Amino acid sequence: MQMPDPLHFENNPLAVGLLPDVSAIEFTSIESRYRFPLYYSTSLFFGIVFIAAIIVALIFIGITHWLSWTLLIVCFCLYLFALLYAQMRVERMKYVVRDRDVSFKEGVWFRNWITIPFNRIQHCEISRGIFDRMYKLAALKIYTAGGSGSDIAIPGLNQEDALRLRDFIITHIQHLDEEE
Amino acid sequence: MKKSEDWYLSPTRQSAFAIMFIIYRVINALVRGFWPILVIVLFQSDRFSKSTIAIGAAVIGVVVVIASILHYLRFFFYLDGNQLHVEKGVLRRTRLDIPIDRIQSIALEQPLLHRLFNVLKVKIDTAGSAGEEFSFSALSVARAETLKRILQQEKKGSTATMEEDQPASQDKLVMQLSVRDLIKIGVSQNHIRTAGIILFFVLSLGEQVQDVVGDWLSDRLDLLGEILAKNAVAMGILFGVGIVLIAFVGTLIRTISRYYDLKLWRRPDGYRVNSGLLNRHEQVVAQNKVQMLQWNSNPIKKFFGIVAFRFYQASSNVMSSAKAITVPGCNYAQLDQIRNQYLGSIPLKPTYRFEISRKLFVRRWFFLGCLPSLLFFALFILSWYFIYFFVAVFWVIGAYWYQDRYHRTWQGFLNDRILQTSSGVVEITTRMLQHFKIQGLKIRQTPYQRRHQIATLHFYTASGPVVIPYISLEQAIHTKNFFNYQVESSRKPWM
Repeated sequence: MQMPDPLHFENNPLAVGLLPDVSAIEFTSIESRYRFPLYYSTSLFFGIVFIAAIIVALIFIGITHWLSWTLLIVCFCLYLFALLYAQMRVERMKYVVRDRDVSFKEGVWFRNWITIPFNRIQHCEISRGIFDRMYKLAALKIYTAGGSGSDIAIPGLNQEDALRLRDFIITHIQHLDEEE
Repeated sequence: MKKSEDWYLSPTRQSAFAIMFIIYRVINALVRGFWPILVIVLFQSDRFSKSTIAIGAAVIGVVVVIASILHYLRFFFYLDGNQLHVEKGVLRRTRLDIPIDRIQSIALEQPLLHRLFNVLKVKIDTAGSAGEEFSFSALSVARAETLKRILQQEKKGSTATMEEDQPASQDKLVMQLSVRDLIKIGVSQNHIRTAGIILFFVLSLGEQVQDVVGDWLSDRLDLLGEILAKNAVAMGILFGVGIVLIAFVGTLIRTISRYYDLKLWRRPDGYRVNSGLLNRHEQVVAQNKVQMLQWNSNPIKKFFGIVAFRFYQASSNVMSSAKAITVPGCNYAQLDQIRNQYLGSIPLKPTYRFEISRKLFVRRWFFLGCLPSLLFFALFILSWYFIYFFVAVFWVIGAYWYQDRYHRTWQGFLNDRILQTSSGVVEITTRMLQHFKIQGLKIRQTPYQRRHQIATLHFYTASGPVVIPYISLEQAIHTKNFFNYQVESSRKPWM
């Protein structure tokens, strides 16, 4: 993408209509099968919660007491909600990589939309958890010097896509460095 | 080059005086870690015989000295190519390899004891996720200065200029503070905060001491408590006044000792600050490392016509004040001068002003003012204690004033080179940064904000975020696009 002449823009900083508009760009959703690794890790967590709840119910309250059943039902409802929430999170995660920056949108309740220009990226990292590997998925983490608030972690990418994206970003960073 | 000038290429130890400072540091750490035991031993000395205490102290002393000497002997550093290597540790050997271009700042310090032996303390800070801070206990003045010069030269790589070698006399004095200025500054500091810290400290100390000393002291404290209880109101007022007075005098003394004879110099490539009564500090910051400028004002400062300002540097510990060069007070003309010097010919006039939505005020007043107030009102209805009623009324009015003032004082603007925001209620903080210092941008929306088409915009820099709350979503997107473009088309290195 050819960027307009910077001088022109410095004199007309608020001619915003002429600026490249991130919102007009189509965002790509992450792989929808990323919900399975999320389901597994959620289930793992709630498995522990269930065991704890059952122990509490058996030993401290007594299995016939109404409180025990309420406890287990509440745990189960929370588990279902967590699964639903994971599903919604996956649906909301979107990213776009352009010539000069990378953007990521996420969040069910609080919506975030972060954009990092390539010339501010410090380094990239690919991480793959156990469940990610089962589904041939990977997460791409992009770090800046701006602290954790401005770092991006895009989970649920196809392994090859993640590698390609990383290489693209790395070569672009070097390319930009040479320009300078 | 002669061999003696190449000492830094082979593993080198610190100055032998360092042993002393290491011993001091170890004892300091021991006392900090084990002071409760120390207190027990001192207060309940009848449990231990004098000889036991003496032998114990001697054994600990010998161990500390031997450990310190070993520590000194096993500590090496050297430069190799573009890395600074440090090897240390007696039982567990650690080796640090610090790439020189990752080094953010090199600070030379000379506390009182160091001055007696003509040695310097060298602090090295690195940025990045590793976040390692590192310091040499003592180096001879000549070696410390050579090290600093070489590290700074290496950092610049092949394009090293001779600027670093120019004598300090080339630096131009921008401003300096007299004792009178310092008294004004000390008076206008945030005393309520200091009082809070002291109060918290006294309370937590009281608790700890009681835990440790037990009956011996608590009996005496109970006696004191009885006397106090008889004159509760008078004592309460006395206590409050006492804390405020201690805070006032404390900040005054701290301000004077920390910033005594402060001098701000303009170097060819940045700034230098010298200050301190007992500990002379010298901080150097390169112009291109400065990420953000911040200045603070409050009613007392306004009365004296002064502002406090800071240069924020890139830091692994975002927003750490240790990485900032602080000038606790200067007049408005000096602030203008410093701003102009830092920015060069960049215009300061706003071309666009942000308006934050009144919804922020309404929402914060509701959640932080009305809801707690309702709680107190409920307590009043339940108990009929009028104190709750007054708290409820004052809370809701106070919160209204606070949030209204926050909304009125908030300002933010941009032009083609800078972004500036001011916020606060009593203490007003203004932050200014150049567009190309921005690292990343974020638009954040809560469900409430989504319903009303408003958003909060975060600008991330290497020395902390700048936030514009509650602007219209459309405006947020336009602004984000504008800054994206500004950063992406900028060829200037951000540091």
